[in-house]
Amino acid sequence: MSAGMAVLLFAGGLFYCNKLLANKQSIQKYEQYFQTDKQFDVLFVGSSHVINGVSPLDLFRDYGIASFNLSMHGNYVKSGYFLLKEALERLQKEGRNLPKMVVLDVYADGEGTSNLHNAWDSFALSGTKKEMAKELAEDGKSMELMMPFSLYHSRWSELKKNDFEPNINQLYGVELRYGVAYPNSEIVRNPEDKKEIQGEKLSYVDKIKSLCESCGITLVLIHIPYSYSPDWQREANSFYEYAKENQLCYVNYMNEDIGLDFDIDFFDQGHLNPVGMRKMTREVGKLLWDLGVKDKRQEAEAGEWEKEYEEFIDYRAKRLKDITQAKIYLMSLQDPDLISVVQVKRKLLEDVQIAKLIERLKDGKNEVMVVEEGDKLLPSDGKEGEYDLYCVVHKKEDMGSVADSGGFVWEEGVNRRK
Amino acid sequence: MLFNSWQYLIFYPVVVLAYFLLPKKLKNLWLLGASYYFYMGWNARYIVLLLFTTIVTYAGSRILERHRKGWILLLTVAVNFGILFYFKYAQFAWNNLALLCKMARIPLRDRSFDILLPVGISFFTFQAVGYTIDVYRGEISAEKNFLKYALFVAFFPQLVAGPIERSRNLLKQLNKTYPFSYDRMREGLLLMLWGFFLKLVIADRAALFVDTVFGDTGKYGGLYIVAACVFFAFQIYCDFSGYSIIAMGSARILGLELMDNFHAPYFSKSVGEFWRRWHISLSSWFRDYLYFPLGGSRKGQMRTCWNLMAVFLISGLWHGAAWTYIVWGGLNGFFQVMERMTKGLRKWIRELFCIRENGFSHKLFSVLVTFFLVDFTWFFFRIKGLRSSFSVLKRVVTGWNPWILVDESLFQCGLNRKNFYLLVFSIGVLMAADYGKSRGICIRKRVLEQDFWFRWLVFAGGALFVLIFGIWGGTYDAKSFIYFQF
Repeated sequence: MSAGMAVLLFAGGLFYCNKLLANKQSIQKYEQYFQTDKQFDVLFVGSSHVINGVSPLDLFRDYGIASFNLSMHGNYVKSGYFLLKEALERLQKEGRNLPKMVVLDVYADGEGTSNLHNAWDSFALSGTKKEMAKELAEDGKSMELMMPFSLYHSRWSELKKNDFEPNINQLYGVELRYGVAYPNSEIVRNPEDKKEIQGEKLSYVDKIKSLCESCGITLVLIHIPYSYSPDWQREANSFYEYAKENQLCYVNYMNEDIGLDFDIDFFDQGHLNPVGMRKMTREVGKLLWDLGVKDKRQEAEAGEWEKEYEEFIDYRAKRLKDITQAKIYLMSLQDPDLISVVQVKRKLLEDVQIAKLIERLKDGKNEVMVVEEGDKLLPSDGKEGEYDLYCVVHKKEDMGSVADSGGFVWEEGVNRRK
Repeated sequence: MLFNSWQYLIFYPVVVLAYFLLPKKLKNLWLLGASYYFYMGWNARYIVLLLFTTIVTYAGSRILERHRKGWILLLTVAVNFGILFYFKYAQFAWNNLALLCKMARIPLRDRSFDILLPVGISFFTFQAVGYTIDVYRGEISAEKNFLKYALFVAFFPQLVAGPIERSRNLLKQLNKTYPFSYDRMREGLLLMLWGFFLKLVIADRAALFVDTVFGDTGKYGGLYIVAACVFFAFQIYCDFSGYSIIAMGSARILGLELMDNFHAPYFSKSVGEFWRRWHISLSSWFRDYLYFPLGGSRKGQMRTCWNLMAVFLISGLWHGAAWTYIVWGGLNGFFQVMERMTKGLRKWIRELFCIRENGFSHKLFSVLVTFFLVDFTWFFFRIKGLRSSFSVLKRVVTGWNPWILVDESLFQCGLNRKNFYLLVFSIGVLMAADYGKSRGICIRKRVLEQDFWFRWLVFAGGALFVLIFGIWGGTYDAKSFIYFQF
């Protein structure tokens, strides 16, 4: 009797400690998917390119498409196959409808074990997880993927508030990365410039295709743009043939004119910033609409999506306050739900990225004043003459109140908020 | 397989479960099979050595029982020690011979024996040889049942790192089989839990600091090395006693009682006392089969000192085929010789300054001095190579850096601040338990006497503590128990 109680006490303690000590990336990403009872018509599978590339909240607002972005940093086609399998099995187990469509980004393969941890640690041990660990983990590391406690028990000395109260992603799997970066390598935009698909990637795309077929799901292949690894870009062009042979829809957005500016629409060379994401989402939405995904904006569940989109606007407005660099601030003003009044000194326009960002703000919704040398900016905080750039931002639906305002100085390329 | 491995966590419950389910006749056979499987987990081929040692000592003892001839004993012992010598000392002996030849300008080619040391060979060889000598002396009768004897030599909990059991204790227990006992299981589990605490929380955590400092003695000098030596004293203690205690716990659940190998050694008030409390199974082996036959302390002061030096030099060699181990053993012998020779002088000083031998302050002083001396010898145990030991010792003396005790430097040596403090706290817990033990208080028994809720908390909380704060799994390669190499 007492031995049983000791075992129970131990098991309870272990369960709690396991949760507390675990790496929180996975739970932050997937908890919303685990908890929601929404029906998703589309699931996105891929790497960080997709996390920063397609926003379900924007998709619903603009096209009425209910979707979830299952993608995870550093998890490519192979891990994507297992993540999709696990996600579908979970839906089947809970008796929920399966999605109508799966959109897979065919970028890269070769998951490292730490990236697999980031994706998989919050999933309970299952047949699929075991299979994934066996096939994808580096030598001798499959056990730690199946039982992450063996790795994380030593995190006791690193625990932070986020471990006790994890900050759960409420954006349907999306992350907004605020930054502006130039490309740093060749950008392959010719569909005929090809390279053979390497490794086991194709066999896993086959597996995803078979999985989707067995569940009556349409598989769509995409390739989200980036500006590094030209070989990966060339490899993506070989998927045209594969898609044709397998009668799949494939869009390599590297080769499409979707209005992306590689100078200002990327957070870094691999990931779209929120402006790039919006453009990408718009294109994917068009594609899905063309493929017949249902518009649910008139259905009962639309109210909840709309409410969440309002919170999404608040979230973006709040993030403005943390931005310290002028370029990134100007990028974040390229937001359909924000209206800004911008005063900028002409000397700043010598910077190509700033010039492009300012040009884009002149869209009739925002107000831009270019101040000539010798003249002073007239900021609303009264600190006349102290700034090179000053912005006042309102939410579009709430022009009465100021969402954020602030000035920046520009000194030899250093542009910081003052 | 290591005690702190997934394999053992599966192996051991299966062995225990089957042991209690099998009919009486098959229990020992099952344990023997399990023990051989356990040993083959390292190197399946070396099972032949274990079997050979078992057969030779079994046959030798049966013959000795009927014909008590010295040459038969000598032959049996020589065959076993010959195997041990070949696998453990051949390379060392050849290297030293080559060095001597070089000095004498006699040509001798370099030779690499390239021999993989069989795990635990020193332990099972000594155990089997001890049994043979016991039979020769007529202290026990030779075991007729070969399977039972083979189990005595190969019993898995103590096979690869001791305790080196005596036939009078373990072999006798194998005459019986044991039904499942809830009390024994509780006691065994508590012992194993304590053993894992010592190994995973203290020894392997201390190793992170010690390995960092000793891994780069060019960078770390002065008090870094002193701190590393202090931690090494606890690393080797917890590593070895941790293994012994897990072995005791594993055997206890099966109904068998192994000897206690450590008795609060760092509370010893002299180096002689330390060796009566440290690795008791080996110390008593040397005492019974080497020191006493050499004459022990019965043949005058000089002969006693000589015997002590001989025993500890051989003990050093038992621990490893390197000069550092011989120096280590020699120093331990030397300190004991000095203790004997200065006995009168120390008494005179105590009387002169009116120091009470049994007073707390004198006891504390003696404990601290003994720890210092023993820890000094551990330095030679840990360092690689005799030549480097002298240059590192020089760096201890010349590298004056007391500020590392008050700034953040000590937290940059493989352990961050939290892990450093956890190690110090855990050593405090160990010392408190050892103090209790030295005063005759067995904490394990005290815990088992408590009300059920307190026992639950100790079991569940202790297991969780070890799981969370132990160094295991993940990117960390579980360190082998240090004593496996001997």
